[in-house]
Amino acid sequence: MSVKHLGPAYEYPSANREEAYGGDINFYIRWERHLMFACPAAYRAPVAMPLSEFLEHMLKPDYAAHPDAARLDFSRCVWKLDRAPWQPDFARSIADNGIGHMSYIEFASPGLDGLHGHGY
Amino acid sequence: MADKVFIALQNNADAQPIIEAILADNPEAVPQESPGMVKIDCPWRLVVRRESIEARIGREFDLQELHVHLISLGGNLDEDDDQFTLAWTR
Amino acid sequence: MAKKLGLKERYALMTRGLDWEPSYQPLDKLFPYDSYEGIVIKDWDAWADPFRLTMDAYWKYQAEKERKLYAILDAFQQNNGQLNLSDARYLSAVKLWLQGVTPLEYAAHRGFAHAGRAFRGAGARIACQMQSIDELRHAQTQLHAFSHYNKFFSGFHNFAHMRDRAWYLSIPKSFFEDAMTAGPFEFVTSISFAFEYVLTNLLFMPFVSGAAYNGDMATTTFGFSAQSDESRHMTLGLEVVKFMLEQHEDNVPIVQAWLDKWFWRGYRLLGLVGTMMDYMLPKKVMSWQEAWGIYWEENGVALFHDLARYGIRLPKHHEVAAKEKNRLTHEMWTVLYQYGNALGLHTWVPNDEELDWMSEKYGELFTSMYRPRLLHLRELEQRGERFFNNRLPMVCQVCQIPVFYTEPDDPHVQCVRIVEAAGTKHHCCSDGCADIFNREPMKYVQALIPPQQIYRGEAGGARDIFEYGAWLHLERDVDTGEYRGSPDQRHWQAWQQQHKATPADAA
Repeated sequence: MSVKHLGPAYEYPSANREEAYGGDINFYIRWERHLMFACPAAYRAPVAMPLSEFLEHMLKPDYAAHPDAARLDFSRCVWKLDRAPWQPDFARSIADNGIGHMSYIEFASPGLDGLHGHGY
Repeated sequence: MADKVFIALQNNADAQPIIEAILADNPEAVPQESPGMVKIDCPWRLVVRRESIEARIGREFDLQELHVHLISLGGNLDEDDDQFTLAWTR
Repeated sequence: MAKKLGLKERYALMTRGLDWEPSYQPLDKLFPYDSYEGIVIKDWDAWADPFRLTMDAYWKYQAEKERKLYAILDAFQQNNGQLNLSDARYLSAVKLWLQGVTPLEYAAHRGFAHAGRAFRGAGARIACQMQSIDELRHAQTQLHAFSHYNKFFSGFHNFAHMRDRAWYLSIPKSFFEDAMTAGPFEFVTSISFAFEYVLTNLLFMPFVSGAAYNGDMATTTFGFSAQSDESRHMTLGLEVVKFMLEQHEDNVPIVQAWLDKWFWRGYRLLGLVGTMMDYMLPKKVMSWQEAWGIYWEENGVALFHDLARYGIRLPKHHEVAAKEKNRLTHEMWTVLYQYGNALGLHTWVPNDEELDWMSEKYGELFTSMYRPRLLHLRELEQRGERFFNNRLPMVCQVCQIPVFYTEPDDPHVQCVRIVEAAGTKHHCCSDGCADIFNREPMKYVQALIPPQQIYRGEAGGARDIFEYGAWLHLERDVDTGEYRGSPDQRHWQAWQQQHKATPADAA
């Protein structure tokens, strides 16, 4: 549906369009069954950054407060990109892995299932 | 289950005769006190009568004076000079 | 002498009787905004204010309310009423009210001034005019009441500045701006009906009663005084909805869509109120779950039963609210707790007595799921590793709340919905918010989402959560963060000791 309005056409670009990021992109990641971190996390990163560098140096430190973080091995995780099963190539860049602006990544870490048996 | 209308009033001295009048005029009304307020629930319909309040306070009462003590209400309202009624359609 | 006029005659004379027919402009040019939403009105005279309040009576009773209110505020201030609070933790709720609710009162003042100008019916115009003045009164009385706390506690210093910048205040701000940028009928439906009739009882009744229980005479008094105006607004809200439904059958689906949208938006916003009730009131009156049962499931649903005769059904996704009522406030509190470095109020882990109360009110789910989480956070804090999450969160494109809700049927999995418009993906917290987005995508793609603003460099150049806090004018670990060890707590303890000390102790 469209917005009922007076005056000329009611069309606007997204306030968060990719062009506003100067070559970087904005994307989101969730570590499944680790609800101590209540929300999927938001990142801005250059598309040419190798995925391994992003995961080890940007993402991993964010989870340091969780007891599972020290044992987290990305190569053993099960990944989804924009809701579809996905096999990342950690040596390649964010862009080469198909991660786009406003992409949503989910990963599960079998064996590391959060605290208290409730995925916390 | 009957749908309930309600009126909530500040629990102060001026409101006491109004609360008493409501409870007397609406036998099915149930008051619930919580700090600072009284909420009165009643199935389907509740009426506030000017005369019942006047009989308790010994002076003329304008039903719009209710606004000073009123906190909230639920129900379709009908008000004139003599009564203030809250009701749901059955 | 002429016989005194009855209420209904006085109302007719003082509303319709004061209106006039324009002679040199057509009505459609004079009132351009009251038809484009598609609402068909055949007879504006069918509008009636059930309270039949006229301007002269309005001034008389409002003046009386103000006299009572200010006498109490004076007494509260002169007698150092702040020392009689249950605990200084209570003030986090008051800060959230000042930062989040008071600006809404002012926004409502503006919105109703605009709606009042927009309607061609005199009855509707006068009701909106009174409401506009009421809302300004609410903003002013709240500021007066809270200004006393600003002399003694942190976080009360810069609410207007914060309102335009802070991530958690974009939740109420965006709610109201969504309503104000709609047409006048949707605005009145959203605010007077969906928000005030259906939902604000939850704020002004159990929460304000809680303020009374926690010794906050100032908030109790303005709260109940404001809610007496709200009962007039609620009545206006129900009247406008019935008026639209009675005027033309084509109005029914339009009104239903607005009720669906605004029930959900209002419910999402009220999660903050539930969290105030369950977590920020040191002495509890009623749990969120109980309040939801009384004010929505009983009173709100009764209202919808009454509207069924017009073909109106319960708002979409109300069953999701029912599924969330046991977990909403527990999930919300841990969000406020972990993003506390960018929050103008304090957070903490509840004490054992409070955890027991929650176990009693929320039963097994709380005891097995949320209580261990809170105890884990307490243990971290006691080890000197108080948990903060300093990474910016995903935020819902519609309600602007961080995406923390769990799936309606699985409290272990975050609920994320992906929507697309204007060539860009966006994220929503729920099917309710995704429906609202998909109904008017061009409206919501314009939303300024705080973490995205930070990443785009539109938040004063802030590069992390601490620089962002400074941009909000929050002093780190004074206004923000953990309650235990905060200046508010230290001052409170010192004042309590002084307050209780006997003259002999003092000497």
